[in-house]
This record gives sequence, structure tokens and C-alpha cells, in this order.
Amino acid sequence: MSQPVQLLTSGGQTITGQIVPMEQHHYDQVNTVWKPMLMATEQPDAGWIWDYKLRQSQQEERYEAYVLDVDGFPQGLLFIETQWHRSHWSQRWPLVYVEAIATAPWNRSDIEQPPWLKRVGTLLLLFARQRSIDLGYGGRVGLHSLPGAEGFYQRQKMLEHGPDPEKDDLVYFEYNAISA
Amino acid sequence: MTYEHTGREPMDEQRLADQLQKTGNLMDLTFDQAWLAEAAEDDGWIEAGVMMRPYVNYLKSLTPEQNRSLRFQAKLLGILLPELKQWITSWGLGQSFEPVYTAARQTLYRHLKQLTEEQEDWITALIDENDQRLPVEEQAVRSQTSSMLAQLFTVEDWHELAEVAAQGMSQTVLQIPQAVSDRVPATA
Repeated sequence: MSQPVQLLTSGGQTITGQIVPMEQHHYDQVNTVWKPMLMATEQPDAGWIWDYKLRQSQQEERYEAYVLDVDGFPQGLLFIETQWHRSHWSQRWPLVYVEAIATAPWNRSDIEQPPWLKRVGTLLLLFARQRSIDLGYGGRVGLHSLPGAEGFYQRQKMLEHGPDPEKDDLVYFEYNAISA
Repeated sequence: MTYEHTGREPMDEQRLADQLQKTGNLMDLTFDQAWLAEAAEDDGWIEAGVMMRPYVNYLKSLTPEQNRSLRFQAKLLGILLPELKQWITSWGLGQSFEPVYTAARQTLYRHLKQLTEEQEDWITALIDENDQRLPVEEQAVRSQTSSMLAQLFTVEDWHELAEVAAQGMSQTVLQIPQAVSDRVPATA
């Protein structure tokens, strides 16, 4: 599966990218280019379990790992679980659960001014909703936002369910089904 | 922090419903110039999921100098990788393309950490030219990329790439008998 998308650079240029299943070479590039400073700053690397998620997506059907690839270069990552999670609403609808979503370091204005690409997060979130539709879940998507990112999900009109004690009190957000 | 909303939101539910009815694929919205043009601000921090915590902590620990360096490296690879891919495609490696391209990328990453002064000057010129946003065919420095990469790779690197290519070719040839036998109907 490969999904072409269009993005805007901060300079206003329109470019084409692809959301594609993550492969080993994407993971290698993320390691090399997104986090080269880890070695320089000698930070612990134990929490970077993207390789584990990549293997999960290759071995278990319910996990899917995607990368937003622009010119062979990863600009965003999305890991989803598609079978076991349920809505936090009482009806407990099935949904696509976003296990992890991230954009490259330079796509945010407080790190790079101006950021390189706009809307990487929006595109990946939109793709998660499309996968939910493909799977018959109507566009329902759930996720736990990290502190500091809640504003993004509020702007994306996700419904806020408050801190989740089962997930370190991270705020849970959910999209309902898309209805005409 | 406050956010100003202008016009329709990218995730306006009615708009998504309209799009689904129209093409059945939400991602087609990204080819709608009006939708794209509404990207007045960047997404900012978007990370979600417990497993992303170390990544966010890492980003927040970076100094402005480290951020600049990250961005520079990303910009550089944003130019070099497509050029490298195009170059290796021109070698006509068939099935061996992917493993050779992977090995070549690793080789490139390794060499970028130990550039000579001359190579650093060339890279600075390459980035400066890229910042001018000229059409690719008018980028004189960029047109030298394959020669520069050829110089960057050592004799040992070329032998390694040749070996990877040969392995790929061998595997392709060795799979032929199995592929043929799969097509032959079983006889009683």
C-alpha cells in the first residue's frame, strides 16, 4: 500500500510525498538522521523501541507501521493497532488506535524556524482515519497525547476524554465515526 | 497558548464526509489546493503514545546548535539521497538495486562524518544553491553530485557494493529453478 499525498513547505512550495509501510531502510534513516545527537549527548537509547514496533508490524497483522516518505526521506512516523482497542464511549466501538505518531525534528517551529514541512501530523492523522474507514470502523481513531501536544489534537477537533490513569495520566482523545 | 481558526478546519467533519462521498478517500483532500492553502501554521508538537516519550525528551534536550546541525544534515540528505538513488538506478542492477542502494546509503552516512575541507566546501555550495530554489536542471553544483559521491567512496566501498550486487544477482538466478518448477504441473 502506498498513498500519495501533497504537502507544503514553509516556503510555500507544494511537494509530493508517499505514506508507505515502514521498512528497515526507513528505520535506519530515522536512527541516523532524526537522532544523531543521542550519541553526542550520550543519552540513554533504551526507550527508542521503534525497531520493535517495526518487527511487530511485520509479524502481526493487527499492527501497522507507516512512514511519510518525501524523496526517500522519512518526515513522519505512524504506528497503529487495528483490532484490539475499543472506543472509550460506552458503546465500545472498534477503532484504530494510534500507538505512536511523530514528526521529524525539523517540522516544528520551536525547533526549526520556519519548520521544513507543514501538516505532517495532520496528514498522518488523516491517514489513520482513512485506515479506520478501510477497516469498517467509520473513521474512529483513538490516541493518548503526550504533554505539550494536546493543543494539536484539540485543533484537530478530536474529542477529549481527560487523563487516563492506565496510561500514565496521558490525555485520551478520540474521533467519532464520520457521518454525512 | 491560543490558536486562531480561519475558515474551515482541516478535520471539519462535514468536509471529510463530503470528500468520502466524492472519492472515497480522505487523502485526496491533500491534493485540494484550498485545503493545502489553509495550512497557515505548522502542526507544532504532535507526538502521542507512551513510546514516543523518550523521543520528545530527546528533542527537548537539544541545544539550538544541535538543532541547526540536525536541520543541516536533513537538508543535505534531502538532496543527496534522491541523487544517489537516481545514480544507482542508472547502473541497471535489477533485483540488486535495493540492497545496493541500502549499502550505499550506509556508506554515504559514514563518509559524511569525516569530510575533507574541500568536500565540506562543496556541500556548503550545494546547500546554498538549494536555498536559491532554482529548478533542478539549473543547479550546477547539484549536477556534480554523482562525481562527488564517486570520489567520496573508497576502493573498499566499491568492492563492498559490488559484492552486495553480486549476492543479489546470485539469489535471483538461484531462485529461477524453483520458480520454474512451481509453474510445471505435477504429473501422476
